[in-house]
Amino acid sequence: MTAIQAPSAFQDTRPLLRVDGLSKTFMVGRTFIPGSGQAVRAVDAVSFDVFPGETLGLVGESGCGKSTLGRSLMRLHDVSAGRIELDGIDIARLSPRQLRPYRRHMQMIFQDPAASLNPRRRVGDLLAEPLRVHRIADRAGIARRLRELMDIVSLPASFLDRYPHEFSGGQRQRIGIARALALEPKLIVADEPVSALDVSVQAQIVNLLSDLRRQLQLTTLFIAHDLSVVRQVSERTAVMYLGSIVEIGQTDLLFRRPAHPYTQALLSAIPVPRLAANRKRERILLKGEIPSPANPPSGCRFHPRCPVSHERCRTERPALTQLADGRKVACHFPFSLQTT
Amino acid sequence: MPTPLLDVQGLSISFAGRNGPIKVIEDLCFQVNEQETLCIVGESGSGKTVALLSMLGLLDPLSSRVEGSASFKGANILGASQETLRQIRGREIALISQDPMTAMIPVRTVGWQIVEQIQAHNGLSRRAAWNRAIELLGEVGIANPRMIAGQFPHQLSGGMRQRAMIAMALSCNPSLLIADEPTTALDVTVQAQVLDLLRRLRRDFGSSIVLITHDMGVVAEMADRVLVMYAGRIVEHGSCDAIFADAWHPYTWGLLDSIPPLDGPRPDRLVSIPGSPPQPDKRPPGCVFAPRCHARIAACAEPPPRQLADGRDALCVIDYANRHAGRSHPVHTMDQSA
Repeated sequence: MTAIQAPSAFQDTRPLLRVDGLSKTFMVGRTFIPGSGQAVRAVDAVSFDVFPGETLGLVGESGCGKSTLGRSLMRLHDVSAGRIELDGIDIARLSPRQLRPYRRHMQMIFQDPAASLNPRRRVGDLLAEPLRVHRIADRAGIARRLRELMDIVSLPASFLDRYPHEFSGGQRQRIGIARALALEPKLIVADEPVSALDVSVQAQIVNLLSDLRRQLQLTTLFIAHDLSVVRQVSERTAVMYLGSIVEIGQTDLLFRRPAHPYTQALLSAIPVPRLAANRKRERILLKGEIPSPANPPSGCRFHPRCPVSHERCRTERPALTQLADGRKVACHFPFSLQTT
Repeated sequence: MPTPLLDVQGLSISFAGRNGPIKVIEDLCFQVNEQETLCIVGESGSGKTVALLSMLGLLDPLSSRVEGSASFKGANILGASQETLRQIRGREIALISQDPMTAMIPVRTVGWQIVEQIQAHNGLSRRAAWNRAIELLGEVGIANPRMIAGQFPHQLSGGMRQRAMIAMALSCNPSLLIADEPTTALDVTVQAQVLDLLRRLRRDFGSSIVLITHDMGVVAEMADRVLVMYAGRIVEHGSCDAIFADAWHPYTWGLLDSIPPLDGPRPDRLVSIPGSPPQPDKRPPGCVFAPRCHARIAACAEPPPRQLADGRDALCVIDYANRHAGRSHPVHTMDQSA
């Protein structure tokens, strides 16, 4: 427990990342006919802060827009609206050229290390590339840094001469992490970094990530669908549903007593590896599936699946509002879903 | 004691490799009883899927060699003719695969595919089979079965497709349902729905279920009995209660203890199993788990004994007296990547 600092310590400082009203709209089904196609709001006016040294977990089911959000922050694609302030500078509208000096301050760890490492290049080349591109060090400096990086992720330096296919999934993910750390970025966006790994290897990588953030004071946005992993690594957690954040707050608060019915349902849906007699949670079975973001429901986006929806939820969309305990919830009736 | 529905004895499977055969499954013995859910747990490459495919005669006979016996309702189905197997597959033993998209024909409607299976096994007319298909889609909780039956697989969401697959599997009232990671590709809220459906099916139809998974949470919710597989062997077997209350094998400890908890205090570090599973052609002599085991002793260089007691067993040299101490002292410093 000592590892997790009191989250209140962060709130006083200036956020490293401030996201304000960020939206990303994709056009689908567009043809040559003018005006054809349909706008899909994958990320819909999302705002949040990430403080220096903090890990913010971002959870949600597939299609909720969490990966699109992560990629938008990295400016891996253009954003439709809103601001992304990294250390006080809005990078949302910068051209690729203007963006280049900022790129080294934000790096990404990808889900599938097999797909994100070039199979034709040696590990050493993969790790050296960002250093060369950003002209960080000379030849000797690069060689030194490579050994340092391998040491940080607990891999032998001899692996630098090998190719990605020679490694297991866990080792490859360590290489992916080393590459993300190569430029000593201020912000790391980790998009499902452990979900492609075998169960026995997942814990190794989760431990590695917690060690690294302690040693290097990393600031991380940790995107995952696995709530138990997010709980393990993050001080604060944000829950996304259909492009919007429905609840965000301190991880312990959120997991102990979720305010939004969706957070509650999501938590209760996780099969707990314990005998029935030792399980605490009552299962809440949601009806149906996530609606298409191309055609979102009126009012509260969650109301068609919500076990406690009222008339007001059908017409009026709830704003993300702060509660007394500091968390923010987008629900007209927080805590109203009672379970025994 | 009644005879088990499926009785597998000494099942071994080898694949042809560049330097001679590679043994991927070694001496598997297990039973599936009537109306029970057996969960097979293990990581990718542990051989859980291959073992079940071999029983259905779905491995390529040119590149694989299967030894041992598997009797289903008293008759050996290993090495049975394709003709015999065709009568069993789909009708008696149905398979639900992990990815329903690849298990369906993309250019045919969902209804067509269910009808095909019904007509292949019983001589219903096309119209009667179609009505039955719609009925089945309704039974698996699809709200508007008539519409869904006329749609193509790609038009359905992952959860819907998996329901359609289950409807297809149920079409002939199979006595054994093999579900290979049926919820791995699904979101948790949809997974909860599908697991709920499987539970209901066992109750209403009385089928036995073999559920392959790597998620100990799913095991805790579904299983009557559990097999834990590692590197092609069953390393532990027992009732679900027994395994969760008191696991015997260090690999099972690792699987259970490495899951981050959802409530209570957050551990500083997770208990993890160092290294990764061995490649089938590079399995160590002696205990296959020994190189990753924190409770390893000198005796682990020899093949471990199978310890049996109270209807459960484990392939491990650690005996009753040393089990508790072995589990409670996990070595954190072994977090290496070896």
